[in-house]
Amino acid sequence: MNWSAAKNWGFSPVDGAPLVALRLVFAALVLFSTVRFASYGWIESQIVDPEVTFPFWIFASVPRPGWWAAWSLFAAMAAGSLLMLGNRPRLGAAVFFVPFTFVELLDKTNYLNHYYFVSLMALLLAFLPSQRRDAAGVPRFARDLPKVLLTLVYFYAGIAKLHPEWIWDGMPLRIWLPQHNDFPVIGPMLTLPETAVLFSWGGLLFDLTAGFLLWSNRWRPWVYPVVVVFHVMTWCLFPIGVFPWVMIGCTTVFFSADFHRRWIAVATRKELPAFRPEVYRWPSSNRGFIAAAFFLCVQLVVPWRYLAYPGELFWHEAGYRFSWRVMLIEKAGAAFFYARDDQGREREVDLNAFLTPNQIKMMATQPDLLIQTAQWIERRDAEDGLGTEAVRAEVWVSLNGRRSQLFIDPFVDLTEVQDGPGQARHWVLPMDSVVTMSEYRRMKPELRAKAGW
Amino acid sequence: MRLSQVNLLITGAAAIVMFTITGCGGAGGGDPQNDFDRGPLLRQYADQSILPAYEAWVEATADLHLRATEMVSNASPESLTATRTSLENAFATWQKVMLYDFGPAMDRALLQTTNTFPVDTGGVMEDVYDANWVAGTPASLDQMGLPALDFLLFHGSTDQVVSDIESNVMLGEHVLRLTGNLADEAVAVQSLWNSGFRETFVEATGTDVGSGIGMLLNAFNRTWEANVRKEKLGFPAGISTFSQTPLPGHVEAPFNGSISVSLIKGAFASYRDLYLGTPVQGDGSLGLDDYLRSLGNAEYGEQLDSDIQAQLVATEAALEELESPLSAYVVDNQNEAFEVYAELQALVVLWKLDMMSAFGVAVTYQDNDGD
Repeated sequence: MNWSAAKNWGFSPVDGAPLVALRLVFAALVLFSTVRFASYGWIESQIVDPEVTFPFWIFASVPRPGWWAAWSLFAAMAAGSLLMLGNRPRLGAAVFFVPFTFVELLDKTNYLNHYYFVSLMALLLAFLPSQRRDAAGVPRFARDLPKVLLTLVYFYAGIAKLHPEWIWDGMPLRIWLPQHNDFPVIGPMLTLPETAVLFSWGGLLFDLTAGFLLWSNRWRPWVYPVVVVFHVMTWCLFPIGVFPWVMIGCTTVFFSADFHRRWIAVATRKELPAFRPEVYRWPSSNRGFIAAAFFLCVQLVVPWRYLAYPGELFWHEAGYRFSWRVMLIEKAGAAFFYARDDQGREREVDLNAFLTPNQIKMMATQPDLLIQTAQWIERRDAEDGLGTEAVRAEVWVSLNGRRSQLFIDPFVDLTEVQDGPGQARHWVLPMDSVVTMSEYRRMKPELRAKAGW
Repeated sequence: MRLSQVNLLITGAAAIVMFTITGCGGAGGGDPQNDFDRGPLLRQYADQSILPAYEAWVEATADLHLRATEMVSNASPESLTATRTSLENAFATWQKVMLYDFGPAMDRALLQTTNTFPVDTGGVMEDVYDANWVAGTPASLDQMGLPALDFLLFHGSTDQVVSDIESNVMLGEHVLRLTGNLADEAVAVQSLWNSGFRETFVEATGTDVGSGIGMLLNAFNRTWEANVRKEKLGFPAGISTFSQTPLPGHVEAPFNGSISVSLIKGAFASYRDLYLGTPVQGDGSLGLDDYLRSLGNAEYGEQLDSDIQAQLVATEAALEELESPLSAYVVDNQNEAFEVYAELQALVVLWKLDMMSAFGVAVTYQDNDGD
C-alpha cells in the first residue's frame, strides 16, 4: 500500500459518534479523578507540602507550584474536563492536558502508568474531532487512533508480562493475592500458589489478546465483559485508584456508532447529527496524518528503549517508565544515606526530615531517585553550611519474593554519578550478585578501604 | 453486533460489577481453612497486648500524678523518692506503649507529648512561671511529658530538689500540670480504644494502610527505626553529627542517668514480644512469626522468621554490652555503641523491608500502579 492509498483509506469517512462518546466518557472520568485527588488532600500532601520533589530531568529547573498555583492547576484541569463535557473538546482537552502533564512530570515519585495513559488520551483529544457535529463524519484514522492506542497499551502490558517470574513463579501475584485471604468465598483460594499462576496466565492472555479482539464485531460481545470483570477484579485486589474505570470507560470506544448514538441521545436528550458521508468534507491534509503516524511510531518504539541497557530491567529500572509495565513487580527497599564532609567524617542522614513517606518508599527502589536524594542532601547541607562533599547509601531491596539484598555500590559517591537517558547504571549491583546483610557487614571494612572512603 | 445484544451485555457486565463490588467491599470475618487468619491475631494483639499496655500506662501515670500531688503538698525526701520511683516506673511502662503509635494515640500525638527528648530545660523553666501554660503546643513538645519531669525531679540531689519544691510553689504546681497532663492523655487514648477503636482495629482484617495489621505494622516499623534505634541510641552515640561527637545529653532520662540502658532494653523487649506474640497467657499465642510461617513460601516464610529470630538473639546480646550510665558509655565506647546500633539497624531491614514485603502490607495511602 502506497502513501496515497493509505491516505485515501485513512481519510475515508466514518461515523464520528464513538469519538464523541469517548470524549464524554473520558471527560467525566478525569473530572472525577481530579475531584477525587483534591478531596483526598493530595494536592497538599503530594504537590504543595513536600519539602523536595523528584522532577523528571526536563523539569529539573522549573519552579515548584505553591498552594495557589497548585490549586489553580487543578482548577484548570477541572475546567478543561468541563469544557470537554460541554462540546468544546479540543480546547478542553488542551486545557486539561497541559496542567495535568505538568503536575505528572513534577515528581517521579507520583508517576503512574495510568497518569501517562490519561496524558496521551488527552493529547489525542486535543486534536481529534469529537464535537457533536463531528458525528456526521470523521476520517477513519481519527476514529481509530484511540483504539490503536488502547490496543497498544494492552498488548505491551502483555509483552511486559512475558517474563519467567510472571509466567512460571506466579510472581508477584503470589505475594499479592494471599493478602486477600479475608475475602468472602474466594479468600482461601487466593492463598494457593496455583491460583497465582493461574491468575498470571489469565492476565497475560487477557493483555495480549483483549486489545485486538475488541476490534472484532464477533468477539467484542464476549471480550468486553471480560474487560469489565478483569478491571473490576484488579480494583478489588489492588489499591490502584481510578485506572480500572478509565480503561472500562475508554474501551467503549470500540462499540458500534449506533450504540453510542443511542446512549448519548438518552444522556444528553438530543440526537447526534446523522452520519452523512455524502456531505463529508474533511481536508485531507498530510499534517494530521503524519502526526498520527509519528505518534504511533513513538508509542511503538519507546517501550523498547530498555533494550539499550544491560542487566535485569526490573532491577535497575533504566527504561522502565512510560512502557506499560503495570502491576508487574513487587519491589520494596530500605535506604540509609551517609554524608561525608571535607574532613572525611561521616554522618547518617535523617530522611524523614525532608522526604514524605511516599517519597521514602519510592526512592528506596528506584536508582534515579536515589541519585536525586543524594543531590538533595548535598544541596541542603550546603545551605546549612555543613560542607558535605560526598553522599553514599546502603540500600536494601527485595524484588518479587526474593529476600533483601544490597542494591547499589555502597561506597560510590552518588552526587558524582551521571544518570540519564542512555547511561547504563553500572553502580547498581547486578541482580545475581546477591549480597545479604550479614555478608555485607563482614565485608564492609574491606569495601570501605578499597573504595578509599 | 445488534444493539439489543450490546445492551444485554452491558447489563450483564454491570450486574457482574455490582456483584464483585459487594463481594469485595466487605472484608468479612471469613474462615479460611488452610492459611493464616488475621482476625484472631488482631484480637489477640488488641486484648492481650495493646489494651493491657494502655491499662498499665493509665495506672502508671495515675500513680505518678498521685505521688506528685502528695509530694507537692508535703515535700520530703521520702515523698520525692516515691515520686521519682513512680516516674521510673512510668518510663519503663511507656516502652510497652510507644510502639502502638496509630489510631487514638496518633490522633492525640501521644508519642510526641509523652516522650520528646532531649528536653529543652530552658523552655521547661519558662513554663514553670507561665500561668497560662497550655499543654502540647507543637513548639513545646520538648518541654513536657516524661523528659520534663525527669529534669524537674532529678536535676539535683534529693535534698536540693526537695528544697526547690518547698521554696518555689510554681515549680511544684508545674510538676502537677505535667503529671496531670500525662494522666489525662493516657485516659483519653485508652477510652478512645474502649469506645470503638478496638472494634475498628480488629475488624479491619485487610492489608491496606487503614487495616489493623497495616496500622500496627507501620507504627511498629516507624517507631522502631526512629524512636528506638535512632533516638535512644543513634543520636546519643553521634551517628548524625559530622564530628561524630557523642551527645551524652541526648540519652533518654539523662537527669535520672541510671535507667537509659534499661529503657532501651525494655523497648526492645516490647518489639520482640509483639513479633513473637509472647506476652500472652496460655497456649496457642499468635505472633508475626506464626503469620510469616503460614505464608507457605520457604524463603519468605520459615527462612525469614529464622533470620529475624536469630537477629533478635543477636540484638539482645548486643544490648547486653551496653553499660550504664549510657551517657558515659557513648563517650567512652563510641565504636561499641555503633556496633550495637548496627544490630538495631539489621532489624529495621528485616522488619520494614522483608517482613512487610512478605505480608504485602501497604505503606502509604497513595494509588498504586494499575493494570
